[in-house]
Amino acid sequence: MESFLKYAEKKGCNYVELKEYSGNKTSIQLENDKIKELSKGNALMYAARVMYKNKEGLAYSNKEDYKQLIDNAIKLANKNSKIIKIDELPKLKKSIKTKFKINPENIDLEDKKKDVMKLDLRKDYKKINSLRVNYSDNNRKLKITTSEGRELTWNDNVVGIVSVAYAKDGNRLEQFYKSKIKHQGYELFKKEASGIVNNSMEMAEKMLQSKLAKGGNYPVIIDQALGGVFSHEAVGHGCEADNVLQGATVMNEKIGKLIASTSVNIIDDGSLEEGYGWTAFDDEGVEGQKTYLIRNGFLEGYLHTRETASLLKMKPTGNGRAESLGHRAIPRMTNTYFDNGDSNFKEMLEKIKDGYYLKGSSGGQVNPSSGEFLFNAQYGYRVENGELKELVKNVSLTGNILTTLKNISLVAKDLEFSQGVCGKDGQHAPVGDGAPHIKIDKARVGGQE
Amino acid sequence: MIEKIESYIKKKGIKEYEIFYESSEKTRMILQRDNIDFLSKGYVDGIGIRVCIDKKLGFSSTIDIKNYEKCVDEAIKISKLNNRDEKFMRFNDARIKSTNKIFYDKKLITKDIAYMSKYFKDYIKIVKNTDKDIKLNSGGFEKSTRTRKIINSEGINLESKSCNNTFWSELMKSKENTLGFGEREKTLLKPEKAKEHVKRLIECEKKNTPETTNINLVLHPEALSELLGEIFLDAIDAESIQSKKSILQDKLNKKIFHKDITIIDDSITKNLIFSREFDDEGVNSRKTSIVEKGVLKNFLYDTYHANIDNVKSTSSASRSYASIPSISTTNVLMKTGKKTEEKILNSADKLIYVKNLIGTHTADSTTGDFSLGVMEGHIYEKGEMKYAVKDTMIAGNFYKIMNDILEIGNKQIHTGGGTYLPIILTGKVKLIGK
Repeated sequence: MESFLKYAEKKGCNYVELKEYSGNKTSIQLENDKIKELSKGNALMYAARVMYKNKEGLAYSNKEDYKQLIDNAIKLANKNSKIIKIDELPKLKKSIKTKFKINPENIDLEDKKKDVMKLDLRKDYKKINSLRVNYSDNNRKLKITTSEGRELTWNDNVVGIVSVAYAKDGNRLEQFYKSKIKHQGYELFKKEASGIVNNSMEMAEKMLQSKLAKGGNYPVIIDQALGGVFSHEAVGHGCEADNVLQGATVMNEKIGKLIASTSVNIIDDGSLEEGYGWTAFDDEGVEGQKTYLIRNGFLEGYLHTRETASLLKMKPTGNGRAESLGHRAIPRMTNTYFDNGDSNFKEMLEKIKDGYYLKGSSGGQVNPSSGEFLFNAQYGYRVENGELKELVKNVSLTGNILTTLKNISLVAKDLEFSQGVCGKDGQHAPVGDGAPHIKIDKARVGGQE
Repeated sequence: MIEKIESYIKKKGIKEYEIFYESSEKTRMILQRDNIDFLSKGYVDGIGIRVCIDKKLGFSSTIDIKNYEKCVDEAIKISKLNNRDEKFMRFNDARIKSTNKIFYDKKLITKDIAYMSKYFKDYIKIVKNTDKDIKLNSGGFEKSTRTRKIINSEGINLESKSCNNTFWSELMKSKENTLGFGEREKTLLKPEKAKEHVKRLIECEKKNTPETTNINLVLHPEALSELLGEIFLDAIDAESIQSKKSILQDKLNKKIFHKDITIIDDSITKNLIFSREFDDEGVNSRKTSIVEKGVLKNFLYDTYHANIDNVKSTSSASRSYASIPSISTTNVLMKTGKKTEEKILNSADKLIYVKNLIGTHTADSTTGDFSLGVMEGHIYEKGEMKYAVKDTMIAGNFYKIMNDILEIGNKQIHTGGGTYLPIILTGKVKLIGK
């Protein structure tokens, strides 16, 4: 790599990032009692990001020809008129390895196939019409070398199980989705797979009894999965520094101001290895780290790439993430979570006369600029006089970020994490979301009734 | 190279196989705060190999094409490990002779950064000339070229190229008023679209929250496209039907929508964005009737699922080199009605006209139930626009609204994806506001 860095320097580059990504992926799909897919594939990509006369260009290819990539990146930089500035980072040599007990690469494909086939557990569920289970493992390696003398390697392993069950009763068809994806080894599959599949089928059958929610404004309790999406959609996106620089977020110019109830603490932590958004180092070679976004209700920080940190005179936070080596690193979340408070679910329930308890997440979306957000619960319960009543499904919550953050009255101490895939500017990134149970005193609940 | 791979597969004694080669080149320009912010360019190619030995299927893919032998060996190994699939008949044998019809625009294929820069400058000039306070927060321009080669043991040997360009922008008038726009075409884009974007943004000034009520709904093609894609288009693929995951599994030749709804999938009409000579298995393109006068007429098939139902593939196989084929729509066209947009907006005493939704991906794709935020929508009374809404949701069921159709617009509008739809006026849905 040294010779390519020198080559770029000779050509007049004031900064160079050379990257290599390789991955070996196994996928198995079970549909009912049949293996629908059994496949292997590998990925390989090389990229050069340069700053040439302080102008930036990125070139990538699956052919290992760094000289060509540097030349192409310089050509692009030459066509760019924007001057970019990033603060220098210290030299660092580091090799990180994901911890696991059983290396999926050491398990024969035949054994994996047999293990997946055992997940056809439909016999205990009379109303399950169809079951699809996907298993995947991806052994991946990312290497970044920069002209500042940073050499970082991450040998990673990601294992995932996704189960979607469909239950039918008469004309009614309902589905339930459950998944777990982590930076771990095959032990995740051994420990969690049957639980995930059983849960998806149990819940799909339960959904056949569910009713539609009654739309309106209510007090709500949201569970850990939904609270995690709330921290992501309502707070995380608004704290991404590109949105701040555009003046396109309600969090703009709010650092140091009280923007939420004082029981609210929201953190982004790329160094959390157990989260799906673990970022040993980001796509600019900055190590993942813990960043408080909101502490005791006060806005404290933003999420940065190296460029946004430099522009806002702040420090990089390890949030410069890209979907692939062919994409630009942009500010985005890693593991974002609501920290524990001191309340509990029972206390929250007792305080609701007429409202909803909403559970599980089907995703969400936010407009950081106006502050409007929406997230959707997989299911929930009507709450009347402190008691859980009928089951409801597919309930959405909307609101305005700053109003809703102040409407949070109680935060429990039962933090749990789940995983998701976040989309921004046409790029996808794996993220972790977490929260304890949260009570919001007033929220807009969407329902057809 | 692909011929070498085929020789190697044959040398291994494999009788049934398919080689899918794909290369793609992308030039991307990222825009921020009224300026060009970032440029990137790259090239990637790879192969996907499917083999079938004694009714056992194996698939492997690689981006490291020079080591194709390893990829072939892996596919063979996987096939031997797999269970017999009695439903597999053969790879696509619907031979077509390449017609050499060009499905891409020769002008676009030669364009690069200079064209993209000029487009952007013209676009921003129109925006600023119309309203100097509007700024482009973020956006981008991407030109993408894709080459496919397909060879299989049934004698298919095809090659094709496609090219399209996409522009997207987020315009901001004030903090409370930002809107995102996007367009994708396979011909050169016209910056004049900026006029419409600015108009839509200005129409969203001074927002109000309506009272919670039941109200007639008008869906703009953009919002309709999102709901159609999220809820309906996956439900008509034969894989969902055969594995009993679709609510439409018993509905073939039955009425599922209002009698005025007619929808086709069209991959052959040349000027449409996703038209092509053949699909990703080499099956020649065609038109397929999906819904005719409200009646569900066909499901969509690739070769594998078509063989199971003993029908012909609808040329709906879609894939990258790294995945096995799956079924997807190409260009989806809905038949127009007779009324203009203006007349439709005057067809009910009070209605909400929704152009963009928040969180469409959270709709229940199995049942069609949705409760979504309104990103861009207006309340109309007696044909007159009263105000743009904020903090507003709509909730309903997609199949119900497609049965409650009251009016269909007389113009098909191409949204960013592959849909060409008119606006629709439906019966009442729940609006959740104050």
